[in-house]
Amino acid sequence: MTELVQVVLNGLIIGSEYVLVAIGFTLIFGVMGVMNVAQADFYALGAFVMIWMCVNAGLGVVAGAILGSLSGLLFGVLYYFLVLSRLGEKDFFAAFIGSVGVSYFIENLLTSIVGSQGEAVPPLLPSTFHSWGGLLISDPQILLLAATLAISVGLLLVLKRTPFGRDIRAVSESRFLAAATGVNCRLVIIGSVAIASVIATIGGVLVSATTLTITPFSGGDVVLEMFVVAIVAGMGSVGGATIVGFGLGVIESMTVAYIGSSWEEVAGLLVLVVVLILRPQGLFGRQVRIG
Amino acid sequence: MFGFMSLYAQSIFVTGGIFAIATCGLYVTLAAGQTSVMTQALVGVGGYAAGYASVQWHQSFLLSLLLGAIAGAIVGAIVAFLLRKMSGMVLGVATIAIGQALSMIASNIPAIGGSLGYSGVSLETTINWVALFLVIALLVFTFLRRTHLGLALLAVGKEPAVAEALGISSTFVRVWAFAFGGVLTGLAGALQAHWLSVVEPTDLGFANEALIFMYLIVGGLSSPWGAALGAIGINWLLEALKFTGSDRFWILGILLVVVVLSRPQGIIPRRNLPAERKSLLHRKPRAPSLPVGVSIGD
Repeated sequence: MTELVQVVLNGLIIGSEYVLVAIGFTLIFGVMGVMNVAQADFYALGAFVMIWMCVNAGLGVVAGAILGSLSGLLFGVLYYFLVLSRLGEKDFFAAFIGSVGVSYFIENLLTSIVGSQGEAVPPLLPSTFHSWGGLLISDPQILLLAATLAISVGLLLVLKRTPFGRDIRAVSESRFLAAATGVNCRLVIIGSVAIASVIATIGGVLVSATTLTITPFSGGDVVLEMFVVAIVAGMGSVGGATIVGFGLGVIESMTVAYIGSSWEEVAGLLVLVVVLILRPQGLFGRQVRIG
Repeated sequence: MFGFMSLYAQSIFVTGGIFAIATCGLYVTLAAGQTSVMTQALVGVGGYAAGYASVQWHQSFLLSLLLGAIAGAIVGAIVAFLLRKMSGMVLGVATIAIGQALSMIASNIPAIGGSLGYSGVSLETTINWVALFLVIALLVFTFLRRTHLGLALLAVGKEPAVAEALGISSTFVRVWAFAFGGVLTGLAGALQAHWLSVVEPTDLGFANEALIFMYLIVGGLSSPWGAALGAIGINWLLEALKFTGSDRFWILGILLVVVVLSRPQGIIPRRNLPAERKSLLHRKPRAPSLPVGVSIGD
């Protein structure tokens, strides 16, 4: 019995990674209608910035972690002004391809700089494993799980309870009507992109604290799960992305534990295809589909 | 025939030409309005089929090419049928997922080499073969546009609702769009298998998919000739980059973004039908202008 719970717990931790990336992805899609493939690469960027801050700039680990997390703001806003703003409004397919290009650019630029083997991440917390009633969990993992829950609940609260969140929901439902009622759509979109990017970079910092390693293609590894989570949950649904993200982590963990590790990713893909065939708007999605 | 080129230049042309054929396949599928982001996977399918056929069943080169093309077509058609209710970006993402799944399935089957890939395929592809098939592919396009099927593909691509209203079954067209794309990409994969002598499961993954879109978009989306040109051109550029010792592949990422940003007419290929193209040469007829003060309907 404890073995099952351990598997589920591991799944939740794996799922945290997916949740953090997918929340931002689905947020950007809800607000702009753009599928931002580069989201997963921001995740890797966050970890790399942290490494550079700690190793090259000589800052402490905590400072490096904070800066790494906040770097998402810079990257997100840059990305918006350079690429998204010129593409998103006109042509969603163009924005998708543009984001694929940005993703390719980021991954290969990182490879040029650090090589493709990856770098060791300075540990944020010591990886001592605790044993609670037979369940193993380490400090960084607790931090990751707690942070993920805090972020997703926090984001949901912001969306439901604050004026800015209301504006975000308005823009994602109908940009035209939101603008007509005086919402500053551009500001909302910039804000959403910034929030999404910061969540991604926080994810990168926290997850790499648990695995203690990061490669330029760590983002690419997560891209698929990001898509799966966002689409299965329904594009634009943050709460759904949280639930599905954890769920996917648990499914993958159980697949590895009980079926075999080589089928790990196929499980998620099967779920995606089945959901797309049976309920294309996603489990928690609205009836209307964009795209 | 290509003796004037050094062997090195020839090898660049072969790689470029193989991907040019695959990109032409993508072009067909996109022209029918189907966002297929699994071209690379179909290339791999063709490669595995051709490789397996030529090693296990000892088929001749041409026959294994044919089998590769057919395998690509069949897989493409099955995918098209499974995803027939989807369109647009959702379809694209579903194809990404299926492409990745195929890559993973390939790396899990020991009979075709598992994660190490399938090796031992005979080295048969030469620049002459690639050039020949590329020319054939491009000629097929030119004639396809004049057939009923070709017009149906374009119609569904431009105006799906109108096409349906005219009785063109969009499911039928989708399946054919993917099948046609699959034939060409499978053929490209088969050629590649006989060029590299090995087919690896990672070849089917999403990583190379971006490159194929780059060929298509940079080369110009309005014709398969542009796609072919883009493939060869970018491959040449990649080789030039490698030659100068740098690993600046991220330049391609920037190139893709710049091209996407500077094509205000949009990304989806709008291949004009012959009748429409003629009217672009003439000025659009203006509505008769009314004298000031007169309104219609008085």
